[in-house]
Order: sequence, then structure tokens, then C-alpha cells
Amino acid sequence: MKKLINDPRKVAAEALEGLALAYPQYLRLVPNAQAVVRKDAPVAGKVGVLSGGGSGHEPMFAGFVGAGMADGSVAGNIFASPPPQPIVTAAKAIHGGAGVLFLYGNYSGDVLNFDMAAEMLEEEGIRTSTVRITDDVASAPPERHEERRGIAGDFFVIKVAGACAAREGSLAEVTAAAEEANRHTRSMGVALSSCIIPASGTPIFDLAEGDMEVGMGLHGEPGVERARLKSANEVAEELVRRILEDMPELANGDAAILVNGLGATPLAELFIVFRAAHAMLVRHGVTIRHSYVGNYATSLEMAGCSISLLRLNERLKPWLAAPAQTPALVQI
Amino acid sequence: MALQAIDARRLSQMLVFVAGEIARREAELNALDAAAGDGDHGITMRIGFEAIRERLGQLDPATPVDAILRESGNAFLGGTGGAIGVVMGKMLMAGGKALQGVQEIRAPEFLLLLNSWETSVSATGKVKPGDRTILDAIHGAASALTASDATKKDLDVVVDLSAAAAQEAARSTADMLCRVGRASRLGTRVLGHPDPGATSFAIMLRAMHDWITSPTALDTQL
Repeated sequence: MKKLINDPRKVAAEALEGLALAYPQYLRLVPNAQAVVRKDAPVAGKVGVLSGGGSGHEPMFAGFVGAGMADGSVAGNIFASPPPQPIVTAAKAIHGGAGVLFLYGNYSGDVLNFDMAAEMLEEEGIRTSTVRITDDVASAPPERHEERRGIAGDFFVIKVAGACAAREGSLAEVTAAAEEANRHTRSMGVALSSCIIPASGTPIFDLAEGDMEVGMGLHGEPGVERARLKSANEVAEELVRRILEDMPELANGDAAILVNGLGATPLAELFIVFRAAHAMLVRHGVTIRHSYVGNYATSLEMAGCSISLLRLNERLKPWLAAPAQTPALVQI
Repeated sequence: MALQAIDARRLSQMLVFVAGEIARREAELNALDAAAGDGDHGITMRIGFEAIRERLGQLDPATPVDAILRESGNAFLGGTGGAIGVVMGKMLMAGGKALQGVQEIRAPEFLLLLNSWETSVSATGKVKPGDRTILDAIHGAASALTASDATKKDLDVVVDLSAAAAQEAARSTADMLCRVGRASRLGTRVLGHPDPGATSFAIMLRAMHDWITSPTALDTQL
């Protein structure tokens, strides 16, 4: 293992501290919690949007804290949900009197800890609601879509919910906006190599030289197919094809696309993938309204990428287009 | 002569001893987890028990049995995160509730403790025996005691019985498919490897037995 770290047990905490030091114009650390909130939190009268989950996916989730996106984010240790207490502390730090929406990827650890935090907040009179993000097509068949896990599509859901909250939506309205964004988002990934968890120091799975795994999750969960690595064009087309099969109504409509790097894949390769995905979407009559290419939801130093597509309707369009000022997304 | 009753002070010592055993087995638990997950179960368990050890060191020496269990659960829950943090934290706290007002843990109280743990884990994780989770080991241990009329036996005998049953149950999870959690997406890839959570629980009970029956272990310092 070769990593630029100090202490394997302090990776999550020190990374978050560095982020807060680098971007004080957007966010600040919360005392006594491994969490960040937008610098002017709480915003009076606004619904607080709280994201979070295990660390190791930077810039997800803390990098999307700031005006127009999440009001706060709680970071667990590497690939582990944060405990309930820091979630409660962060929720209070962003509570402007209109309630707090929890937004996180659908993993059992996150569900248990965020649900317990919601109970604790309810006892203190703070209203919460929850949207679990389920964009990963590979993780369960369509008929069990509510069991799917959340991957890079988190980005679209946080963007939409943050914009709705910024436009003074009520807790019910912001929750509905997040649910709608989640229903319209699909993702599919491919892994080329494993990552190494700092505290254990070993790769989390074996992937032979020259092989790829389509549909592998952000923590090495097995995907739908292991095969020989193909060209960028072929891989991009397979990812888009699987998304189109899952959401056929995407064809001939408006969409936003995110080509997301998993950590070790160069931006040049992501653009090559984007190029192929773009061509295939155009062939299917999709009008791309917004494009995002880069490392948005990583898996430490895993190589590979994912493609996320958000099917846009008239409600979602202005929310996605709305401005945002965060460390990992500045949109004017 | 093995210890026949665990009072509050002894309970703290025993938990510290269990923490040491979990830390000693960390790499092994990580390796089991790597077969079905991201390979950090040992790390998480060690961190959780370190949080318990730290909390116990801060407690008033007069803290009673039930409060020690509640505080331990609270410390584990706050110290780790992940699903196991909530499951283990609530489990230990449920044990505190079940032993409310109890001065010493003997065989009947130990059975109460195991039963409360089984109820708690089943409710928190929404799991049942056979789902390939920590519950399989807890259920195995509790059932073995219920079946053997354990309350009339000596403490070391019942802890030994429960530890053996938990280990057997943990081993049998190697033949089970996973229904819940991240590993549930693995299908048959988990077969052949015992569940790390169930294995951890078996290690905890075996460590408790080792501590009860070992004169040097009884001297464990806080």
C-alpha cells in the first residue's frame, strides 16, 4: 500500500479538515462531529438538506455542501456510515426552523444510523424526512428498485433537492423533489481495479489484469458481469445500453449526464467515455441539457467510471440549472 | 475455581478482556469480511470495543451492572458507525435494560442477557435466524442454554455451552446465503466463508469464558 496519509485511522477526519480549510468561502466544520455545514448555516426559514455516508467517495458527500446544494454533510469512517450522534449534531447546525431532509445512498448501515438520528431529532422537536438514493441499475432488478444502492446519481438528487430548498420549498416539497429526481436517475458503473482501505492495507477484491467488472459497486460489491476489458467506446455503449433498457422513456427526451471517475481513471479517459456515451444518446434521440465529467463519487483509488443519467422534465429542469456554490460544483 | 458471579467491577474487567481478544483477532475478522464485503469488520469491531474500554475507564467505580451495559452500548454505537455500530450498540443497551437492578450476573441472568440480545438484534436488523448475520450466533447460544435448563448450572458451564453453540452456529453460516446488508448482493459468492459478525459474537462469548475460568485473566486491568 502506497498512500499519502498520516494515520490510517484518521483519514476521514483529516480529509474533512483539509476540505474545510481549503474552502472556507463555502463551508465550515461542525465542532464535536465529523461533519461540515455551509458557512452561513443555519439559514432561517429554509429546509436543511443533510447528506452523508461513509468516507472514501470524495468529493461526495462533503464536497457538495454549499449554497444551492446540501446544507451539511456527515462523514463516517472509510466506507462506514456515520453514527447517529454526529448526524443529530449536524442536523441541528443546519436546522433553520423548516425541518431537515436526509439524503443518502441506500445502504443498510446508513439506513440504521440515519433512522436512529431521525428518532432522536423527533424527540427534540425537529422534523425530518428521508430520501434514500437508489440509482444503481446493477444492484437489483427493476421490480426490486427500492432495494437498489446509491452511487454517483446521488449528485443529481442532492442538486435538485438543494435547488428546491433554496427556492423556499417546504419540507414536503423538497422531499418530493428529491424523490422525483431519484425516480428519474439511473447509473451504471464499471471497475478496472480495486481500491485499498487504509486501515486494512489490502485490496478489497481481485480483478485480473485485463479484466473489468460491469456494475461493480462503490465498495467492491460484485456487479452483473466480469469480462475482458473492452474499448472505451464499447464500455460506454454497454453502460448506456443497460441504463436505456432500465429506463426506456429516456429515449427522445431531455437528460443530464454525469460521467464519473472512480478515483484512478484519468480525466482524458472519462472524456473519451463521454464522447461515446454522447454519440449513443444522440442516436437514441436524447437531448443532453447538462453534462458533468470528472470525479464526483469515487471509491478511493479504484479505477473505472460510472455513467449517470437524469431524465429531465419541466419541474426538474430549473432545479438542475439553478446556481450552486460548493467545493466540487460551482454552477452560475 | 471459576468465577460464579460477575459483579459490576468484574463486568468492566471482563469487557476490557473481550476488547483485547477482539483486537487480537482483528486481521482474521478482516479477512473473513473481505470474502463477502470490504474487509473492515475487524477494524470496526476493534474501534467499537476501544470506545467501550475508554468509556469504562471514565465511569464512577460504583456504576452498577445495568449502567455499565448501557454505557458500553452507547460507546460502541457512537464510536464506530456502520450497521454493526447500531446493531451492537442497541444490543448491549438492551442487555442493560434486561438486567435492570441486577447486582451480579449468574447463570439465570446470563440467559436473560442472551435472550435480550437476540430480541434486540432481530428487531434492529430486521433479521431472523438463517439470514447469515450475527443473529445466527446469538440465537445458537441462547437456544443451547434454553434447551439445557441452564439456569440451574454454574456460570462457567453455561458460558462455555453458549460459546460452543455460538461457534457452531457461526461456522454453519458458511452454508447460508445472505438476505440483508451489502453482502446480500453477493449471491453464492459468500458460500464457504462464515459470516464475520457471527464469528465476532462467537469470539466474544469464548473470550468471556476464557476470562471467567482463567486466574490471570481475572486480573485484567481497566
